[in-house]
Amino acid sequence: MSDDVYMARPWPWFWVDTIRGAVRLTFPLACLVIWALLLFSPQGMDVLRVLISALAADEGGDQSVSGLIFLLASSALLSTSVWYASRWLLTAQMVALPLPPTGFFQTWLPRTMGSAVPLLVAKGLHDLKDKHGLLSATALTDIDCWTWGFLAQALALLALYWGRGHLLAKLSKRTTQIGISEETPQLTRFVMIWSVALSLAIAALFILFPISLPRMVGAAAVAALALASINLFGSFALTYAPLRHAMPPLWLPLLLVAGLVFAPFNDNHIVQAAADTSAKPPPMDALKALAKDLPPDGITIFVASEGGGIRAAYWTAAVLDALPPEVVQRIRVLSGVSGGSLGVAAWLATHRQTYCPQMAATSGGGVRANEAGPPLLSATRALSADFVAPAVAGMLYGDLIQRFVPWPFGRLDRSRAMEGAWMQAFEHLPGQPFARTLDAFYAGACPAMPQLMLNATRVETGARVVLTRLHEDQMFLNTFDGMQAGSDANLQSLAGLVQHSARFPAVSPAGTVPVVKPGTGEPSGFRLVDGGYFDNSGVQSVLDLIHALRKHPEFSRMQPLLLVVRNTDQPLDRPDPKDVPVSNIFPESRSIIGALAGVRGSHATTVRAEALRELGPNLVDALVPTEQDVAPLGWALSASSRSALSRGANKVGMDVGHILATRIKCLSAASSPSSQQTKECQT
Amino acid sequence: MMPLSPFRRWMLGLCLLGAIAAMVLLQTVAGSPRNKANPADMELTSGAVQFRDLARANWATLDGENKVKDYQALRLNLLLDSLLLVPSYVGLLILFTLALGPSPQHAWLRQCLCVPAVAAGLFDLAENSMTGQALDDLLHRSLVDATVWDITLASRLKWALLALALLILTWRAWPGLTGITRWLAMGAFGIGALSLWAGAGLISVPLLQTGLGFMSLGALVLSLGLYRMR
Repeated sequence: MSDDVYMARPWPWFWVDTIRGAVRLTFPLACLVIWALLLFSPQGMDVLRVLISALAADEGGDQSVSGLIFLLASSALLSTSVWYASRWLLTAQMVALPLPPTGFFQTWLPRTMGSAVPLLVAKGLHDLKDKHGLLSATALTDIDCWTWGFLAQALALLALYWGRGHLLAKLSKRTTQIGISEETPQLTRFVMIWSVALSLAIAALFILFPISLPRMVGAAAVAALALASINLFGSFALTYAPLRHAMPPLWLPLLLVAGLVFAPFNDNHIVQAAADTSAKPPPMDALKALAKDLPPDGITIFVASEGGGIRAAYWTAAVLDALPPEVVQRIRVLSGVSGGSLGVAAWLATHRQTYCPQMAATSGGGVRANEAGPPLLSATRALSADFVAPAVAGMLYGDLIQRFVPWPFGRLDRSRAMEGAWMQAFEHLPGQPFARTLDAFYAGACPAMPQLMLNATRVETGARVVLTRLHEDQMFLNTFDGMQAGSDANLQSLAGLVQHSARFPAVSPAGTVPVVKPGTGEPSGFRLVDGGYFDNSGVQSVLDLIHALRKHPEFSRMQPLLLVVRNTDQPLDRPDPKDVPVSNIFPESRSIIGALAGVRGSHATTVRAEALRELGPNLVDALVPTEQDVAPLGWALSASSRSALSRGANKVGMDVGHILATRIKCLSAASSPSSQQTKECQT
Repeated sequence: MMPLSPFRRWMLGLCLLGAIAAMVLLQTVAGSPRNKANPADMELTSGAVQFRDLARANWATLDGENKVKDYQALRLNLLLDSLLLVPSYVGLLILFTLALGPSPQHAWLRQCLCVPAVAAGLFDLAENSMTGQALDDLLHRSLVDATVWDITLASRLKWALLALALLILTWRAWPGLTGITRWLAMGAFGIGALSLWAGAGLISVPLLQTGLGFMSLGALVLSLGLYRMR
């Protein structure tokens, strides 16, 4: 076939060429779109805010410019990767997808796409100023400087791409187009193979150091590096090479093989056992402990914490931290969903000595610069670590590679990176509670220590799964017992159990829990996802527990108070007044998806409304004030988002503490009523 | 050995200059404020406590109350190492390997022989990055043993890969060089490779420094040999 055939092309060919070009550029275009989506998501914007906060030393101590340097370097790499791959994909002639000889589009499209990478970062940084109330004056100046820096990088790269072509044209060494029968130049082949090899080497580094390295490089730079690697491999190995050899692009068959052939054999999300699964001494039965140390007047506080990523975790821990001691001493049950589970577990892990002073005898790990012994960090301080970077690195490197390998490798599971990051964040605590099983967490604890209920959802049936030590038949309605005898969940660390509750879509995959020697008709394993699919409030499990305990003679004097720690400013017991308008775009299919997604939020509202109807004034609502509702729904918080949440939590915590203290007085007075107190309680 | 093209001669000069400048700057401007310490001491420690103590003793800026204010000197050291020394030594090793590599008919083998040098550079960058993260943890959160073990592993792998790169040069120097240059280069690279390998295995900083010394000597000998050949 002669290349001249494509010289003179009438107008309709424009569409043909556009489609052919788009198929050739699948990977560069997809990477560019994903880069934009990641950057402009709420979590992406907060990741940029984290980098600026670190530079402005909002936390005190060293100014850390390294995150932005990594982003600058990785954005240059992604830009070069997009430009180089697009250039060769459009320049080389291919039998199945021929294009006209190199012209304006083939020259300028790659250059524009390449320089768009740093331009998008500059736009993202500039947009941070829209929420300037979150940033200090120094940070605002830094944003301006770095916006100009990334703009300059975009211009410099554009000049480099242009200048390189110009220079080669002068030297008459410029390759305008490689014909079908011509070989790709050897230097180009070396560059292609070296770039793919370097991508694999970087992947190996992120797999070998799944927590320390991503945390330093930062989530944005990790994403840029991963997209550069994916683009190079996809463009050269899966598109360029097959198309040049008269074959179709290989990515579609590869996806089919990964999804249909390998998937049954390479599930690497099977849960792992904790390092030390023995609980010494064996903990007291949870229900007996609860009954034994019920407050004398029976007034018991139950806490339910809503889901919502790190924002919910931080908010929960900060609100609970602000409660007065007389309230804290009455908390006996903590129910959490998703980020709320992390929040309650983190708070309890840092307050074990409050309930059981004898637990202070053991020492924790970790050191700080200016402290001789193990550091005393609050739950919120420990939650200020970056948990999103290990998850992003795990998703875009380890787990992505695993999908194309027929054997499972647990090390490539991104959930383990997240669990590891949580364990490290709480390693300073005595006994490293996040690294131990739930039984070990309660081993040697006094009966007053609150019981954890971590809510998850079973994939196969959609049933609620309450991961807790409170086991009794018919205690929780329509639930699957994830902690049944033989379930590997019993061997998992607290971090692993929290992970089940917080496996929200895409970021964390479903976890597979094997069951050893299952009973007749029992499954040999099950998969768990985020508890928010069923009830994002955690209230349903508390209500079930209250109903069950009331039937117990040992709990006859129990008077429950429920504190609901919310993650939004929406009403507690009715739909959001900001109603969603009717949409006429794809009305049939959209109705199905929209209703399924909407039911989740509506169900939680129904559950909260039911709790309010049942408990009346004994339900106390701790919602995020509108002005503090700024943090993203991801797994990392900038210093500015944290301080906004802390400010709100201090106020809400004190208000809620006051209300709870008043309710406690009222309930105590109800048994020996005096007219004055009864009046106060009624008002 | 093949004579270098004008472009590669320029690159060789640049890399040599970069490496020498980096070594001078790392000892002076970005050197330890006290005790003439080497970051390698910290990168090969066995745990968080030892890392913290070495960082405080050798690199910390202290305030009036004798508390650690920051670790700017060490951060500058790591930055210079990553931006100047690593590209320079990786560039030198690649140029040497290509110059001593098999004939142009075996172009792919020549490229493959460069892999250990490039991988050593990548591990060096990872090690420096994780050391920076450890300093952040020390100041703002809590540094745990797992982070220090990651740094130590990256460091040991880097030295082992560097030893492999030198071993390849020792092997290629036999057919590629002649006369005294051959024996000097083979001796320097060979002893350097053994010292680095032993240093990585035994976690011995003196052995690693000996290895680096012989590596520098070999690099100088080979550079002179390459410049003399036209």
